[in-house]
Amino acid sequence: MGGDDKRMKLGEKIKDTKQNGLYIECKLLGDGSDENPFHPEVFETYKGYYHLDSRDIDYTNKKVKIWVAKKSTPTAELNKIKNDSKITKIKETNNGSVV
Amino acid sequence: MAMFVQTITAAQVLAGLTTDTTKWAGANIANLDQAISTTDTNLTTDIKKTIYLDTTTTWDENADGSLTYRINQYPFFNGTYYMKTECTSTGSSGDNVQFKPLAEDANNYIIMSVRGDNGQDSPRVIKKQAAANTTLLTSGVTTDTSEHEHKFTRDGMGNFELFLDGVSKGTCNEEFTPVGNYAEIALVASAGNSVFDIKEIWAEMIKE
Repeated sequence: MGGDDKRMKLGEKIKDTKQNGLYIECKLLGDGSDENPFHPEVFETYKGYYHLDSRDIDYTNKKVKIWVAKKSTPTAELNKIKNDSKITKIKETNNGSVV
Repeated sequence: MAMFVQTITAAQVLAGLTTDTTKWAGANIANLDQAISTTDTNLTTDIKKTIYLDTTTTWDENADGSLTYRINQYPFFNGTYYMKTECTSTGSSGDNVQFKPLAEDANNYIIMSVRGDNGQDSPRVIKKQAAANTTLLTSGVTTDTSEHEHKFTRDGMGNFELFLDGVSKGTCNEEFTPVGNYAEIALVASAGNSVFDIKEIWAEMIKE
């Protein structure tokens, strides 16, 4: 499952992340330059396993929605993400059901 | 459409980038397997090609000092891109090795970048669209001086996955598809103060 299961096809792995994940919104940092590309703030702050759909990047408002794979993200990091007041929790899923 | 397969079975040394330290500071290339090409005459709907770089590789020297090897036979995009590197000495600037599987021009492409500058995450997958860069995937691991395997894949659905030392570091879906004018591998040494050993570098690319 998630990041460590090499047998799972890529599409299935992404589906699993969305069925057992935390969908969040955070700041989009960076200025788009070679030295400082646009990137989700969580890339800097938490060592999670993420899935990013590029259509979820809002360049105008400098925000980005991103999935955190609960199975592949260390529990301590996942709890920090959940408790970070600067991160908006959109939804959380367990086995495909919204919790 | 005919299928073309180039497979690698034996050994070869990939070297010769160490003499001009102003261009690439100490890119000592370790022994690699020798490329032996074969052509598979079976017909399929895809063209599949595996490349390996060796001592005969001709690198293009660019005005900014970077070196590129252009893979221009086909506009590849889907496939697997792999590099094994050891950054024996990190530096303060942005030296890096870039795998650029498909590029439209200098302002529109997608790359995997392996960096040698201090404190930077490596590897990353970066999209450059209309001259603006976006990090799509990052290992979350800071550059160090150990040997590492870097790999990323793209399937036919626009899904990417990044691996570091055989472990997936994340996935993304990217709708942007540059018009396929060329693919290339680039060695970018901005100030020459980090040192890379490129131990192995290959790509298995499939034309859509």
